[in-house]
Amino acid sequence: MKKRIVSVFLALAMTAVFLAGCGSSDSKDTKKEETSDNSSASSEEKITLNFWCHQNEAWVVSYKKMAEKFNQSQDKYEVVVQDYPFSAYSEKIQTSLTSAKDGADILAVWGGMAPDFIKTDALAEVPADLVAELESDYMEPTLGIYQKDGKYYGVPMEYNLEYGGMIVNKKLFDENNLSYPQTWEELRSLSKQVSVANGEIVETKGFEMIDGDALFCNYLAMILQQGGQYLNEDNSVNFATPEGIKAMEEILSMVKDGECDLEHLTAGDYCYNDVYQGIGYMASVGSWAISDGLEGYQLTYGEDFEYIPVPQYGEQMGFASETGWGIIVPEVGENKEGAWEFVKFFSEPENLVEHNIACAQLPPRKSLLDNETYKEGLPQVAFLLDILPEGQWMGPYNTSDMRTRFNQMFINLCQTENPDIEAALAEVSQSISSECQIGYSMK
Amino acid sequence: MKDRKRVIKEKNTYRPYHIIIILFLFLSVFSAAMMYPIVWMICTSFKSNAEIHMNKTQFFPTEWTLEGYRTAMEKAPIGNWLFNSIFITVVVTVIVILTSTFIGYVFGKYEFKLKKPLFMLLLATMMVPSQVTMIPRYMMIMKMGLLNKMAALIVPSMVSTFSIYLAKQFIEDIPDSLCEAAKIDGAGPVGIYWHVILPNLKPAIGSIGIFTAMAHWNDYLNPLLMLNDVEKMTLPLGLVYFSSQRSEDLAATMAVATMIMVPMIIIFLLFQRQFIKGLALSGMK
Amino acid sequence: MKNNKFVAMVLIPSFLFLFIFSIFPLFYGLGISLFDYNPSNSVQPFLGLANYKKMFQDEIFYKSVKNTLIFCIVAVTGNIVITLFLAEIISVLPSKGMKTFFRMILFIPCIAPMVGTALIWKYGIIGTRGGLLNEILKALGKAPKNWGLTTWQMMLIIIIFTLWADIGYNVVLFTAGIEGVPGEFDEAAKIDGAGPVRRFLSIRLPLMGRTFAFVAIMTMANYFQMFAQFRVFVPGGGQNDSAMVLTNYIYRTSFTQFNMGYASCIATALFLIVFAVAMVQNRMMRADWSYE
Repeated sequence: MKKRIVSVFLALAMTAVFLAGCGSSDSKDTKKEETSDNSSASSEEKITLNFWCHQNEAWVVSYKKMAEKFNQSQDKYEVVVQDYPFSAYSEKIQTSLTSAKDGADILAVWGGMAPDFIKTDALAEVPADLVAELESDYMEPTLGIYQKDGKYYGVPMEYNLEYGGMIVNKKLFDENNLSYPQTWEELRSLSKQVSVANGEIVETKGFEMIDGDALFCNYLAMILQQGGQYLNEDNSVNFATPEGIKAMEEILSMVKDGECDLEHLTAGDYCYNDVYQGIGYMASVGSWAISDGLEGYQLTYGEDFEYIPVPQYGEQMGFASETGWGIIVPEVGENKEGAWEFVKFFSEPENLVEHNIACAQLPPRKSLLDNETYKEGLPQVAFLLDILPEGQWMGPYNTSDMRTRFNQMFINLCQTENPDIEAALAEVSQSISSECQIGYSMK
Repeated sequence: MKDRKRVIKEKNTYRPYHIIIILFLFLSVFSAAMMYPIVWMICTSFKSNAEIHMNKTQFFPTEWTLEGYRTAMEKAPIGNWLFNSIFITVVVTVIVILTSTFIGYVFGKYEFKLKKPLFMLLLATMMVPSQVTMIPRYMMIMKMGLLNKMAALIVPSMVSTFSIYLAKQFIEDIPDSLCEAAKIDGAGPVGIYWHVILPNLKPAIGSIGIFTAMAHWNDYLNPLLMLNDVEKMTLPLGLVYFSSQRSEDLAATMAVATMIMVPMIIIFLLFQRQFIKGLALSGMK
Repeated sequence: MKNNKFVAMVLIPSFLFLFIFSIFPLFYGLGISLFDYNPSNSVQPFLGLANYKKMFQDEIFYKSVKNTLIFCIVAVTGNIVITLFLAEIISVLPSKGMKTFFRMILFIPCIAPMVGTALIWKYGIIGTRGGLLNEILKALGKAPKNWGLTTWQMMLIIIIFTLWADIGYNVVLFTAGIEGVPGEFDEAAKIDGAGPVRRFLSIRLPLMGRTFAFVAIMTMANYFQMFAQFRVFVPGGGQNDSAMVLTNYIYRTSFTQFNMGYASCIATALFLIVFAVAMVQNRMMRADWSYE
């Protein structure tokens, strides 16, 4: 008996040591790389600035490149990049803001989480020269959330757009001799034609836009494209307008006609996966999803899938966009001056465009809209640049709370026979206006 | 006395064989159903993602592949997670065995003022759900600067009231005469603990050890609160993290799950007799 | 034995520890619940009882209380009935090997971390494509369902999952308890003409009093704290919060919305509920069933 215990423990211990050895080897390597980077730039008398971001392979590489470039451009500061899993990132920022010692000097932040930090007094104000640039050259939706009481607390790195493009399964289109839809009507009829439903589950999906992000963004765009508006003067929202009701009826008919189902809304993942998995034809999503097809699914662009414009629903172009990724600087930081130095460097058009290309993001600056480098670097998404100026900011809301409420209402509508759409929209408008608005004023 | 009971009992439990066969069949079917999810996990881990996406109805893989395991090994620092889990579990278990037997010994063998109310207080803390104290504990750990460190999971768990309770129940059964004898031989309180209590407490230590080890091995809430870095995660947390990162890669997720669970199940099967005995004892006390 | 100095030397540090990590947090939490508490704020505004007022008007709070109680009552009752039944059947089996074998099989799900097994269920049992439930529906010629859209069915699935993952413990405890009951009593009742069910309910069950009380109290205390499976199956609380329980609500409020003051307030409510249930249970279990 004893022998058996001992041998099992030995075996366990050995595997643990072995696994720990190979598991940690690559993380050690990256650390080594970092330190060697640092030493090459004579880090001895330089002040270290910690830059935190979330884990995303391509993004982190780009951040590190930018830091390296900055470190070489001057000899006062040394930026060190550190990444954390996205699921824990918000919590990580939270703790960082409270501690000067273990915290970051510069933080990348998602516009959706930013209000949680901006509403506190833990962030440093953007210096005046940067503010001047923000006001003159940045598009409105990218700035929205970073303002409080007429001051700016963050600098955008990208224009976030979940509307406008869709991933299409080129193979499926080619096999069935179909061409991409050019108008909204073509889109709907094609979608109806190819989809196969089995009860609540749609086994082959036509056009999909029903997931946690795309549903709400497409719905807002559909209102705006009819010339309607959901955002009132006093910043409350109202979806129960004729345009809002019509758009909702349109989306509900997609579900009722069996073109797509609610699977992604309940599971909390994205529609575009269906297209990559070969069970969907078209899925509306931001351009960031392209890299998942290339790397995650190992597919080929132009052969297996493509990214094309979603046909416009209404007469005029219009959509709403929430504030995307930006940079904030904690008030407790000891080297705020250096931190802003880095942010300025980052925001210079020729640097920013490189970052946007590397991360497949859309540029936040007007001056980058017809940038040739960008169009060469990301030809698949260049068509989106033309519509960017037409976008409006989503509004001073906690966007994830807002979407949660909206999506729940949508599911309830789908689940009821002959629903009272107007009443449901009015109710959700009221609850969103009163519960999800950001507690501080922008101006 | 004991033997006589057993003889009567065995005679008593004799039933007609057809009833036994029906019960046996029922249990077999029930057990097979219980095993379905585990077998499903193992089968899925050997499928390729192409197969999962195209043909989601096949139970067994049409072609067995290690693709999922390869991705899992590449993308998930399973070695780190395993090491962290083992380290935390072993350290906490050893500490808890020591503290609970020691405190249990004081409650079981010594007379002192306020013994009853103090013990009641101890039992009362057992009833507090961990979610109730979750936020304050998080704040305290943060202020102590232990966030994201293994100590955040070890330090607050060093004393376990449930284990103290179990230990006390067992220690009360050790005859006082043994302690008295040791005392006469000149042993101090610690000496009695070491030479009399501990050697007579093997089954209790087994019970406490199993309970503590399983609770910490399977804990999800505390690592979720206290740990952020991927390399510092424990197995349960790492598994959820991995599945949320690669939700479409079912084969790899199930490969990670298999790598976490199958070794545990094998260890359990090897020691199941001791395991079940230890557990059963706790219920008798 | 008596040795006050030694007792003090052991108990003072232990209780100090207990105070720091179990009792103090309770009051700390109570304190936090009076503030609009967000750790990254430099000033935490004092709200008094405003959080509690908000709680009593919070629909999701009432739903989670209701769901928590339903979950605990149904799952604990289900657990005890099923495990007693299984333990009875197992104890009837003639060979020791068979007994060990079935106990072992039933225990295997307990070995694995609950988050892990919950993930397996999420994809393998209730998954829309290839999940067991939908495969059964298809085999019966019915259309598959999106289980994520269901309300009470989802709760039921979570309860069944919990039972699947957890019955092994209590089967082990109960088989040991049944084996500990002396056979004479049963024999005597048999001679008196009592049937097997009757004998079980009126002889063996009361004689297992200690085990029964232990299992009931531990299972209840345990099920109030269930969190992992809710986090995996319904992180947002399910359709219209139909599967939101207090533990998940507290976690969501504190660690995804960073409203720690309000979350502490809900935590206090959870504590009071658990305390009340424990009191009732204590009263019920007080009957001394010892046969010694």
